[in-house]
Amino acid sequence: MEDVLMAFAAALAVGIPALATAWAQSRIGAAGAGTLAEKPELTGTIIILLAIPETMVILGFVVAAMILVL
Amino acid sequence: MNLLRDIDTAGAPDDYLFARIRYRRAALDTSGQGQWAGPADPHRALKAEYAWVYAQLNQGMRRKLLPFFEYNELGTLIIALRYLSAGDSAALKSQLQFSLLHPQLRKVLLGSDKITTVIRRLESLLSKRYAFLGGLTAHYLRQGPGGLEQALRGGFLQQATTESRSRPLREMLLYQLDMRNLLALYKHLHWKIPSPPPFLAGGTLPGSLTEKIWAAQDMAKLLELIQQRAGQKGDPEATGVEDFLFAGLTRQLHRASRDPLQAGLVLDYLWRYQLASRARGWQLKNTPAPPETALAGGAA
Repeated sequence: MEDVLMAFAAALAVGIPALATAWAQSRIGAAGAGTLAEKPELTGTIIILLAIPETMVILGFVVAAMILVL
Repeated sequence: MNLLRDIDTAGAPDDYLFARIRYRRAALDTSGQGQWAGPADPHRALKAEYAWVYAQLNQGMRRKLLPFFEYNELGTLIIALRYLSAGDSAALKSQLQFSLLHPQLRKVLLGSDKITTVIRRLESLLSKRYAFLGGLTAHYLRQGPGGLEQALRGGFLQQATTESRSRPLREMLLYQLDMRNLLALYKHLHWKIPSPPPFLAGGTLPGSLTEKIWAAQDMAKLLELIQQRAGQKGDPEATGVEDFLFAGLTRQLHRASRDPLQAGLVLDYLWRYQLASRARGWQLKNTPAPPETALAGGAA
């Protein structure tokens, strides 16, 4: 029973940040595409901005791994 | 039939379009002093920008802003009718170049030299969708081009105010409706015109108040009301009453544009583009821009 709960907690730890990341990236991606259409020189900045929400799901993954491994 | 042409494209997501508009808005110069980045003819540039924004809007946003675009495109129709009655077919064709008018309406405008025939056809095509256009031909024959323009602008503005579902758009249209009433009252008092001004119903100003001011011929009270509606202090007559009210509208739209999920940004951008193209027009004529452009720029 404990294993099931641990697996469920790990799934939540990675799943919820993944959804949040997807939502943030969808909005930043659309706005970034608009910005690039007007000013292509900002490509580097937009890629960085788009990557920032990725940290949420990476941290979620780390927490999930800690739950399962430790 | 609608006034505007149908667009089949799905349009762009709000975030994409808002990012583009924010960039373009930042690059605009409303003072008339800086560089003009658009096409040489500012009027044509304005029309092209309206058409671009309209085509980029997604279906939901387009539905939301339809009354605004209809009311603005009415200007094209009115100017086209003026060219038609003046017999200037080259200017008429040029006016319709970037127009958002429905292709059938364009065909009607280009199809006959007789203004009465054109107005009659317009009435038959549009009166089903816009009930207030019923009897337009009779109105034209009775009151002439001036009366026709007034009826069209007033009717469309009232309908747009009633139909608008977006809060910033509704507030903008209500402001424009009030502005028309205040300006009409001001002109009648200033020029001592004996007939009462043609007030439009539906604004935020109580009809009893404007009628009371007219009955008492109370200019001081009217100027106070103009200050209240524009939301700013100062003498409206010093800068010009119209310019004073324009500055109030600029401020109101700027406030509305701060909401990231609303249509206020689109309205603010197009209003500023209008001011910029106007300032550019003055610049081309080598005439100092009227004070409202500076006021509007300052308010922004």
